[in-house]
Amino acid sequence: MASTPTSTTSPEFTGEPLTERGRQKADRRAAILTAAARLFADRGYAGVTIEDLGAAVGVSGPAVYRHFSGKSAVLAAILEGASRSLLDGADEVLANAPDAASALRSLIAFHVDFALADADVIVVQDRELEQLDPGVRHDVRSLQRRYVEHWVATLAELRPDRAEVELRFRAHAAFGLLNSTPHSARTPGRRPADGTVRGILEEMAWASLMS
Amino acid sequence: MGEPHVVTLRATRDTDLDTLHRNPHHDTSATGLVRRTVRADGEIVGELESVREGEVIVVSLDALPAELGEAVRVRALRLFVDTLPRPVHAKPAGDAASVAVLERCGFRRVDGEFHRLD
Repeated sequence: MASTPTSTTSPEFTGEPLTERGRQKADRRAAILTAAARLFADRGYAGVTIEDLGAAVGVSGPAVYRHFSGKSAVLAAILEGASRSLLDGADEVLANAPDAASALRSLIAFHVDFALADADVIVVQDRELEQLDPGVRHDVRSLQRRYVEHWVATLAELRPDRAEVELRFRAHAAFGLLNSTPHSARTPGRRPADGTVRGILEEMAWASLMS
Repeated sequence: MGEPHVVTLRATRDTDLDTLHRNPHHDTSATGLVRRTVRADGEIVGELESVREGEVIVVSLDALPAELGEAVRVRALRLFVDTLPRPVHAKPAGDAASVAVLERCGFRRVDGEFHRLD
């Protein structure tokens, strides 16, 4: 397959035509976010400086300020970007799925893509959400809740016999399973091939939700 | 085709090499080999590599196809070169256009080679 999911740390697309300079700036911003997710995951948010972020992409610390007002803005962009792109992806899945069963399969496959591509982001999200300013944290939580509700609604169609609280509990348990990739997927070479990992995660998630 | 919104690099995975029809064992014996997969709006479009030759890092454009166009190649190469220690030299690919790509990324021809002058 020639395409892989666009990283959730990509900048938001405005749809406006960009100048060449603007495109370079977008490339740089995306590179900073990817490097930042890796550094925050490795050393913790507190252990990383603006200079470290610049050095990771080959620019000075002050040059990072052309893209972000500070370290907390970088963290906010990572976590807000991830939760927004998850929600957008789930919206798209649900809009295109012919029935609830294929919707659930597509939601699982979509989340596996995220978990394999953005294991760093999962670590940062688990550990550093409390570092966000209250306003941003509220936005991130609200995006995450809406994402979960897409899963719950899909499950409710498949298992109308089950209470919504149980379905929500199962959805969270399945996320725990899928979001295990930071423990297994961050060191290539120490896990089975990508295709195998994907198959295992999809199968286990389906079983955990539908058992 | 419009220009991609964003060009990104990531550490090359074996599955990327399948996508690009490149041999995973290509040149792995080279000293200090660094490989980065180039993606345009998430789609894998090429690869950049560097090796260490003595004191110098040498970048190869062989796997960054001319069909991508000058703008995308420049964007990818610029991101890559910025992460490398100096001094950096480069080898143009077989196509003439790759020379322009190198020049736009700050390389100049010195004694038949391309050197980044910073």
